[in-house]
Amino acid sequence: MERLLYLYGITLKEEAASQSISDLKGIDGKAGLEVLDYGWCSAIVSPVDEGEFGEEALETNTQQMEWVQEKAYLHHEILMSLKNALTLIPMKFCTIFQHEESLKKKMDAHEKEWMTLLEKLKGKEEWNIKVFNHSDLLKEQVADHHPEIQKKKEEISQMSKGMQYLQRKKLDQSIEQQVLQEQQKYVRQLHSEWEALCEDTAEKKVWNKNVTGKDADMCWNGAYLIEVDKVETFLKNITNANEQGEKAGWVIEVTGPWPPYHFSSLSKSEVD
Amino acid sequence: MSYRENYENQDIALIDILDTVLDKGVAIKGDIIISIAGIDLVYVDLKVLISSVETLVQSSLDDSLNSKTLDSEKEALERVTK
Repeated sequence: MERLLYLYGITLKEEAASQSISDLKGIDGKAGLEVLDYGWCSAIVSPVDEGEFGEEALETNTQQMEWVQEKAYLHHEILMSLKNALTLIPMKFCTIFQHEESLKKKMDAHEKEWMTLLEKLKGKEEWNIKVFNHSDLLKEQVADHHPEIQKKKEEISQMSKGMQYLQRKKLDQSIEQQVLQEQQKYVRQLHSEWEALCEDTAEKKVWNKNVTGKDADMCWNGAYLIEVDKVETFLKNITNANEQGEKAGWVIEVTGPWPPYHFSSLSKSEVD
Repeated sequence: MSYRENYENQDIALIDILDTVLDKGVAIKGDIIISIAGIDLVYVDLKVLISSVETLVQSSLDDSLNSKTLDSEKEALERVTK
């Protein structure tokens, strides 16, 4: 059977040399991790079976959510251990090379870009922030105090009963929209404060309630790349924001430090 | 106690991990790798993967597939993998 190589991440050779990475098991739970050196960089890989990770096998396996969940979780666990020990460019799930030769080609072709990227990532951490809002209070506030809504309410009260019914429905929609705008304004303000402390940021898609399983709306989902020295200030700011927003229904969730997944892709121009 | 200790390595929802390690980046990465490494790189069939993740993360109308269910599955996984 072909020896496929599963690539977990790329690091600086000098850092890889000082670590005992082979103690860690790979994505198949059996093979140990290997470090392959290419110039100044090292690739952290493990051999995987074609029967499980070959192109055909993956087509079947990735349709089984259980397999994807288990393996994606393992992938992440391995990268967490690696990023604790090294400056790491983490790979996405199932970055697999069919031959060592093709890995070498890729490593050689991009050594400079990897070096630049590793230099950027050195001494920094990725933190993720999600901001949620229980919108009841905000809705009430908008309904009772927003000038445009007040004006519309006033107009509606002058109308006939039938018209009132229709217009009230429209009014509810306006309130919803206004609430959304207020939420966006609030999280943009927070984001700009956090952004100022960071090297780089990435906006992620917000999830709907079916996905989060929460009553509150997810209003912001973002990733932040930040110098280790500034993390304390960053987290303090978040803690304060959480305390200040609590009464108005705001909840901020922070997770990290993550492997810098959101700040590690080569741009298209570097790849061509 | 530092702020870091408060937040560091708190439990991350499995759905968050999936969203991050699988997300559309896989698609982009797939394209990129294909274009630079020739044809002999194995990669996940993007359409398949993206549709399975979308089922999970985005368009999930099935309430049984929300974050809480995933977390209980993650706990089960942790028991197996640790």
